[in-house]
This record gives sequence, C-alpha cells and structure tokens, in this order.
Amino acid sequence: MVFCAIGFYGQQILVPSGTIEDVDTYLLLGAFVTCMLAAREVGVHLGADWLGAPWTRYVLLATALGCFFAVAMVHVFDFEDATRTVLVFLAALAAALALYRLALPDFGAFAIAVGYGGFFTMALGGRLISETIGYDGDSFVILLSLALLTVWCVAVTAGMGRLLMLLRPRFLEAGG
Amino acid sequence: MTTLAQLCSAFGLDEQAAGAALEAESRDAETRTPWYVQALLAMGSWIAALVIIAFGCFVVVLVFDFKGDTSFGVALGVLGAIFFVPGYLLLQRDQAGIFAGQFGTAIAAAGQGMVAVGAGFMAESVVASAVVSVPFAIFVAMAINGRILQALSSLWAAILVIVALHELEFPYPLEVTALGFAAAAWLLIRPPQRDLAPTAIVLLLLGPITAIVSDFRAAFGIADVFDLAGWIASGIYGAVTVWLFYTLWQRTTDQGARLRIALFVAAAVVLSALLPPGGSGAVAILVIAFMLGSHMLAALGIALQVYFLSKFYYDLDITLLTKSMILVAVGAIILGLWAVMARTFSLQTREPGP
Repeated sequence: MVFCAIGFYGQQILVPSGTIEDVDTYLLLGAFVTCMLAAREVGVHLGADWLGAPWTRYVLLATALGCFFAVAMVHVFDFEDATRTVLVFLAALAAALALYRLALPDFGAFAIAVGYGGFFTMALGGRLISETIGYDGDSFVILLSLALLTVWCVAVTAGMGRLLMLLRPRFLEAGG
Repeated sequence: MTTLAQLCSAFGLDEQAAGAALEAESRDAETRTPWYVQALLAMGSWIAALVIIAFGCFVVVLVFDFKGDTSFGVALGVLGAIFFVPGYLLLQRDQAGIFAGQFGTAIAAAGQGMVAVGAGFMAESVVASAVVSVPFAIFVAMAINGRILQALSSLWAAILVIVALHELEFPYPLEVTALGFAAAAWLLIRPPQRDLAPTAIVLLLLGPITAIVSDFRAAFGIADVFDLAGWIASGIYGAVTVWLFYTLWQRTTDQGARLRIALFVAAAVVLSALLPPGGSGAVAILVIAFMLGSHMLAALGIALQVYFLSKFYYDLDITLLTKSMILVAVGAIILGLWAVMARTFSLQTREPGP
C-alpha cells in the first residue's frame, strides 16, 4: 500500500507540479523497496524468523532492481536524458551482487541480479551498435548491425548461464 | 532428528545403498540448472530470436528484394527453414558448449518464427501461421533435446493459436485453453518418458494468461469474442482440480490427511465456482505446485491468484464500505486459519537455502 501511495503521489502530485521528473518516481519507489529489503535483512539477522522465507528476499530484490532497471532503460534507449538513473541502477546492481555473493551468499538472489545485469548489458550493446554502425543506411549496414546484435545477445545470455553455473557449486559450499 | 541409520532400520533398507542413492541425488542437484536460471536463459534466447527474425526479414527485403506478400512469405519461410536446420543440429550435439547451445536455441526458435510469419504472409492470415507452428512445436518437443527451445517453440505455437482463434471469431477460446490445461496437468502428474515439462508449463499458463489479456482488452473497450466464454472453462478447471485431489487421496492412507483433502476439495470447488475462469485455473496450478513440490509453479500460481482475486473484488457490485468489511473479515479468517495450521503442523520459516 505504501508502494502504491508513493507511486500515485509521485505521478499525480509531484510530477504535475514540476517538483520531480517522471523517472524520479520510479527511483523513489526503488529506494523504498530497497529500504524494505534492508529492513528484512536486518530483521532476519536479529532473529525475526518469520521474515526468513527466501521469497520475501526475492520479491523485494526483483521489485527494487526492476524499478531502477526500467528507468535506466529509458536513458539507454535515449527516450529521456537521465544519466542519474543509470548510475543508480549500476550502484544498486553492484551492491546486490556483492551482498548476495559475499556477505549473505544466496544463489537465487545472485541470479536475479545477474539477470538484470545481463539484460542491461544487452541493451547497452544495442545502443552502442546504434551509435557506431546504426540501424539505417544501406542494406549491408542494417544487416551487419542486426547480425552483431544477434551475436551480442547470444553471447550475453550464454555468459550469464556460464557465470551462474560456474559459481553455483561455490554457493552450495557456502550454504547459499 | 531421525538419522539415516534409524530410517533404514525402521524400513528395512540397506544403509549403504540408501547413502549412495542420497549422495547421487545430491550430486545431481548440484549439476542441475535451477528453473530460474533456465527462465533467464529462455528470456535471453527469446530476445536473440526476435533480433534474428528482424534480420531474416531485412535479408528477404533488402538482399533478395521480395516485397509482395506472397513472395516475401515464401522467401521468409524458406529462410526460416534454413535457419532451423543448423539450430536443430547444434542442439543434437551431445557436447555442445553453452554458447553453441544458446545460439542453436535462438536460431531454431527464430527459424520456427520465420516459417510461421512467412506462412502468415502467404495466406494473409494468422491461422496459417498457427497451422504451421503447431507441428513445429510437436516436432521440437518430441525430437529435439533442449528444454529452453521446447518452451519457446510451444510458446510461439500457443500464442499463434490464440490469435488465430480470435481471428476466426471462435466463441470458446477459453475452453480450448482449459482443455490444454487439462492435458498439461496430466503430463505433469503422470509424466511420460520424454521430458515434456516445458510444453506442459506453457499450456498450464496459457489459460489464465489468455483470461488476463481478455480482461485488459475489455477494460480498454475492445469488443471481444472471449466475453462469450467462461463457464465451461471454469467447469474444466474445477474437474481438473477434483482429479488432482483424487490423485492425492489415492496416495495417502492417513484418515486425517484424507479429511483435510476433502475439506480442500470443497473449498476449491467453491473457489472455482466464484472466481473467473483464469482464477479457477490458478487454484489448480497451486494444487499441482503442491503435488510436485514446485516453487516455480507455486510462485506463478500465487501471482495469478493475486490478480484474479483482485479482479473478483473489483467486480463485486456492492459499496466500497461493504467491500472493505468483506476484505477485513476474509483477512482475519485467513490469518486465523494460518495460525491454526501453524500450530497444528508446526510450520517453520527458515533462512534462505540452496
């Protein structure tokens, strides 16, 4: 309910009044869910067993990163100039990867973060190809760009799979 | 805590053999790719397949200059078939690396997509795309080793069949998806030798997701043949749920457990009658998740149920005050039931595990 309230207040009051931009509403939502995730982790650490079910972590992590990812994509695909969204997403992603690889080893949470990172990398490749070779012009250029994008998407997907399966035994050893 | 020695002694098992079996199972669990990693890889392959289809379309238009509907369709279909073959061959290799596996999956899925799009252009109808895609999906499921490709191939075919039913203005698409659901439940509970779980899961989710799409179309004021359907689909989902509980009943001899199953059957039948068809399907998905011990299906079933219960609540033709009171009462009853169950069965939450 608080999540909805922040979303509605941001979209219907703060954005129309010019206090914040559209993307900032999502950053606020992501920040709120991140706080909830932090509270969940601290609570479990302090012995609140009822919070300990893995899904509570996965839902909060996927939602928080999802909020940041959505607005980072807005910048990557050049719909809006908002560098801060990419920086926030990358910071949140790095924190999640480090936290669930080192401090609280959890393969499921790590896989969620790797997934968001992988799709972000795919999009970044698409933008890079667009800026360098482009998707218009003569037929050779278009086909070259699409062929490169295909190889890039397959490589990133395969890289995600390889990384996760390489690290899985280490997570199992660490009890995550 | 019961030790392996106690367990083997109680059931007259060979402790060494049981230990070896447990160790093999544990090794197997370590090397098996978890479902969420497979889902991640499937999403990546899906994106790559879409890019390859765009590539194929550009090849046909820019390189071969086929621009009429029929010539474009034929050329794209032929190109799709050419793409599909190396994908098939890559996936049939026993020692394909992860890049080769992903590439094979993406080009085979794209090949199937191009053949379907090509057929659609030739006939100027989605029905042709669906007619071509279904045998492709059956071939992939029966002949190719690749769970991700099987899921993508079934998904292509399933989406095209639904769109084709819409194009034909067939009045009972939800009933068709409910029949697919029944087949999927059978495949999951009585699995055949060939691994058809990816196809079964696609068929399982198709009905509830079609119902959600139909709701959104209705919300945006798009007249929809789906509105004509519903009750028969609910009946099919209800029958599947009862069959699932009957299977559970057969597996247990404990009278207490059988009484609980009977209570669940009654609750599930009432829920199936009250909820929209997709909601009845979500109830059955939750039962299947329980029977298979599948976290993935449980998560999907809960997510679907959140939607259908919200929709049921939203559609109630009563005042907001009455709705609120109903919501408070239902919340209190559910919390009470949870507390009783937690005491009875000593439910324990735990730290995240593997």
